[in-house]
Parts: sequence; C-alpha cells; structure tokens
Amino acid sequence: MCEKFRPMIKISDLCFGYPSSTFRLVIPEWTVESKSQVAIIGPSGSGKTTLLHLLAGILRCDRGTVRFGNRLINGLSEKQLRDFRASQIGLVFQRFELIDYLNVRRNILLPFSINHALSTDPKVVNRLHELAERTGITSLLERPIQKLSQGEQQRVAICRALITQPKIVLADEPTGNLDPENKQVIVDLLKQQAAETDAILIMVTHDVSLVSQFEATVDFQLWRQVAQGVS
Amino acid sequence: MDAIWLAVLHIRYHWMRTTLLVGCLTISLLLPLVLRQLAPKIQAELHRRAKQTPLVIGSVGSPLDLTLHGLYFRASDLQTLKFGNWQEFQRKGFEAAVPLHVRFQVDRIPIVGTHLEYFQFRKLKLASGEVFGRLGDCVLGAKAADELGLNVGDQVISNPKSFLSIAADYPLRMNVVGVLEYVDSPDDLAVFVDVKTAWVIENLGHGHQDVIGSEDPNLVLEKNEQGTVASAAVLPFTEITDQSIASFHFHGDQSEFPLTAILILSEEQKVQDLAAGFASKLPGLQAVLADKTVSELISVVFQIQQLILATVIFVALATFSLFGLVIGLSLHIRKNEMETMFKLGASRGFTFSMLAAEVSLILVLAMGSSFLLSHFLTDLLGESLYRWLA
Repeated sequence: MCEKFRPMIKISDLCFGYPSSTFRLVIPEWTVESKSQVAIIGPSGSGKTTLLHLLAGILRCDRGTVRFGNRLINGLSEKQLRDFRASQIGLVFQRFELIDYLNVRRNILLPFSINHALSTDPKVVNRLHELAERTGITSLLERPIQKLSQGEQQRVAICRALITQPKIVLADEPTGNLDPENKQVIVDLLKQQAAETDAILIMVTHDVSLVSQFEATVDFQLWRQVAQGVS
Repeated sequence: MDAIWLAVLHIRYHWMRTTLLVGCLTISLLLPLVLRQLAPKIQAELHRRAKQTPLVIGSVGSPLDLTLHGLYFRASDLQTLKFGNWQEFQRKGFEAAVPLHVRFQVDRIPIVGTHLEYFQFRKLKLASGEVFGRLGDCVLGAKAADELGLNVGDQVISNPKSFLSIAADYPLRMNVVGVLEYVDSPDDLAVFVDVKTAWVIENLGHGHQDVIGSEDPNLVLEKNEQGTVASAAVLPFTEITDQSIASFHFHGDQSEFPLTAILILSEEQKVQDLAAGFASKLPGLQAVLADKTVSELISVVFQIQQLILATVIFVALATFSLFGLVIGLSLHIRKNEMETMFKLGASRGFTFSMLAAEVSLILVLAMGSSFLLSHFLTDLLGESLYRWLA
C-alpha cells in the first residue's frame, strides 16, 4: 500500500453522547487516509464539532475506538492526550480564538508556552517566519490581535495550528466568520499548508460551495441516516 | 514560568482594570498598616515627652488640655495663672519650676515665653548663636528655623492677635539670636523668647515715643505733677532696638502677669510630690502628672483605634469580596480563552496556575504598594506629629 492511501485515522463502532442531552453520535466505521483533505458537512447539531473533538481527544467516546496510526486515542491518559493534541493536532476555530492580550507572534507560539511537551528551539522560530511569509503576515508579527482584520486573524490562527507541524489539521468552520473573498483565500491556504506539511486536513463547513474543492466529503445527515438504518 | 509570564502579559494588557484593583486593595490595606505603625510611635513619643515633663501645673480645668499644652505647646482654653504663682514656687525652693507662656504664634509655630532654665532642664543646645539676653530676642528650634527659613541675625514677626483689632494691637518684630540643635521633640518647632518678651507681645509691656520731654501738642494731652498724659497719636514701637529698648516698660504688678503653665522639670520623685502638694494648696491651681494623663489618653485612643480597625476590617472584607467578584467575572469572561488553551494542549493545572499567578501578582502589587505607602505616610505623619499634637 502506498503511503498516500495508508489509513491514518480509523474510527470503529464509535458511540458518544453528552450526559445532559439525548443526542448520540454513532459512527460504525470511518477511515481517513494520510494526506487526505476531507470536508464534513451537515446541519447544525448533527455532531460535526463533536467528531472533531473526539478526534482531537478533547472528548472521549462512550464506546468504540478512535485510532491514529497504530495509536488508540481513547486509550490514552489525560496527560498523554494533552501532549498528543499539542504535538499531533492543529486546531482552527470559527471564531479564531486568538488571545487578545498577546501579539501575533506570541499567539502563534502559544502552544509552546502552554505545553511543556513542546520545546522551543531555533527551528520553531524559523518555522514561524516561514509560515508567516507563506500566509502573508510577516509584517504583522508584532501587532496586537485587535488591530488585525478578520481574514488576518484567521491566517494567524492557521499559523498557530501549523506551528507544531501537526499530522492532522482539524478546522471547525474556519470560514464561518469571513466574507466570500476571504473564505476562498483561507480554504486555499489551509489546503496548501496541509499539503506542504503532509498533514491530514479535516474541515467542517456549512458552505457547500467549498465542498467540491476537497478530495472527500462526509455528509453528516446521510451518515446519521445510515447509522439509524434509514436508506 | 510561562504561566506567570502569561499572567504578567494579561494584567499589563488590562492595566486600567489592574490599576483599579490594586488601588482598591491598597487603600483597604493602607489604613490598618498606617494605624499599626503610627500608634506605637505616638504612644512612645507621648510617654517619652511625659517622662521628660513629669508635672505640669496650671489653672483648674481639663487635665488633658493642660498636659498637651505643657508638653506640646498646644493652644489651651484654660485660664491663665499668675507669674506670682511661679514666684511662690521659687520662694519654696522649687528650682526646677519653669514658667511657660504660650499664647502667640509665628505663622503656625508657637512662641514659647519661658526662662533660660528651660534650655538647661531640657538639655537643649545651641547649634548657632546665643540664648536670648534681652527683650525682643528669640531662639528658634531647629525645624522652626528651617520652616521659617531664618538664621541668627534675621528677624521674625509675631502673628497679630486679630487682623480685625482696632486697639492698635501691633505684632512684635523679634531678633533671632540663636538656633537650637535638632532634638526630635516639640522644642524643634517653637520660637523661644523670654517670658517678658511674651508679655510685650501681649501688650502688657511696651515702648513708645518719648512724651515726657516732648512739647508736641499732638502727642501730649496734659502735663501736671502726677505725670504726662499722652495722646493716642503716640506710636508704640513694634520692634525692640538698641535705641528703643530703654523706652520699654511694664505697667502694673508683674506678679499679676499671666503664665499659661508652670513645668516641674525635676526627675526626682520627691520634688514632684512636694510640688504637686504645694500646687494643690494654691487656690485655682491644679498639678497634673503628665505620664498618668498620657496613659489615660492612650487607653481612650486605643479603644478608638480598635473601633477604627474593626470598621477597616469590615471595609477590607467588602473590598476583598468585590475583588473576588471581579476575578470571578473575569474568569467567566475568559472561559473561552481557558477552553482554547485546554484544546491547544494546556492542562487545567496550567490555566489554574496562570489565574492564580494573576491574582497573586495583583495581591503582591497591592501589598507592596500599601506597605511602601504606609511607610511613606507614617514618616510623613510622624514628621508632623508634634504639629499634630500641638
């Protein structure tokens, strides 16, 4: 099997529910190959973000398994999960979730400040400049976050997600707060950066116009219907 | 270290909120700290001065007023006693009895009319110049000289009794003949004159143009065997000079002239007891044991201090509750930030230590600033302690 098609993420017999809700996410089987770029669509409340959180180890499934390569994610301890998330996962959020009291540089380097499994070395600084250059924010590195446009803020968030050279980039509606022009720029940027770093890109979106640009698409509505036995 | 650094960046970014919080906490910590530092200082000073001035004799009235007047030259509403009372003490052999006349000021500095023995008993030494030798001379305490910007050879004018006086109540221009060494006592902030100079200021003695040899009808109303009657046009001297000193004289019996207190500056218990006994026999007089009065004053002050402290603790509790509320609200606002950090790989312990560092930094800043401010305020209040007690 060539590397491109080696399964990297494998979900089997997954079942998850929130204690205070009747909602249940059930995924009998799902595989994502390395270097894949997958779009996830579906109505609000269908479990798209929950799936991203399960993949990132933020949530633990009630039943079943989530594997990353040979590693069983839901078998890891809390500390191992945090270290795994910090080193292997790059997260991009809809509202960017940048820290207002840090400037652009410190925001991008934040994962290194908050998790000691990651160590800062000269390579990290080089990578910061490289990413800033590729995303066009080199001149903004010392600027406060409030002085950036929405598009610039999302670029900073993408740099923060990629600074640790993650194996998986999970983007939760990263274009949700952007105008059409910036939407395309951000999607292009995410796809390009993920491709250049050989990372899997899984992006949740409501925007069906973007879906065609991805190699694979998962429609949560259909998926749930299948899981519930609806043909 | 990163948690502390992030906390520093956060409080620096929200500097207005931080300043407000630190300010509120500083104020609530400041008052008890100042009270705590200042109260023993005041107590020690009161006792020290009282021990140096064991017995104060004055007119019947408030013993506390008399004590503070005798010790700190505090203005008193007590009736005056007579110079003759002091003379009686002298006749009885109480050499340590020193007269005191404190009814006037230079700016806000008391003019202390006394005798040269006062310097001897108080062990006051001259830093420059000499002690007063004639009417109109004055010796300045070290701080008084400093505050008035005067030195030996300069002149100083007493405050008029009232700016509205129509009775030609002239202030007296006095010559500074000496400046005392700094002794850290109320004597530093006083203008010392001979008791007779104090009487001149009080218009009991005066000098004026020579009317006996004058034939000017504007100055002389009448001349007969009994003497010369001067007109109101005769100007009194407002300064005692070599030329005018001979014209200065007192009318009436000096033993009837006023004093405000008599200090018994002997350390001997026997002398103090005898003097107190003698004073009690003189009509209209009282003898006050300064240390006893001071102890009573301190016990009252201590009770008030406890009351203030209780109030302050209540206010501090309210302030700290508000601080807790602000931190709680801040945490609520920063919930997303904490969640993001967790999602990016931070442990809950890390975010907790970041918040704890932030709260600690604010508390440390508040405690540090209140500590420094309390020292500054205590020093400042301590410096003006004698003025405050006077």
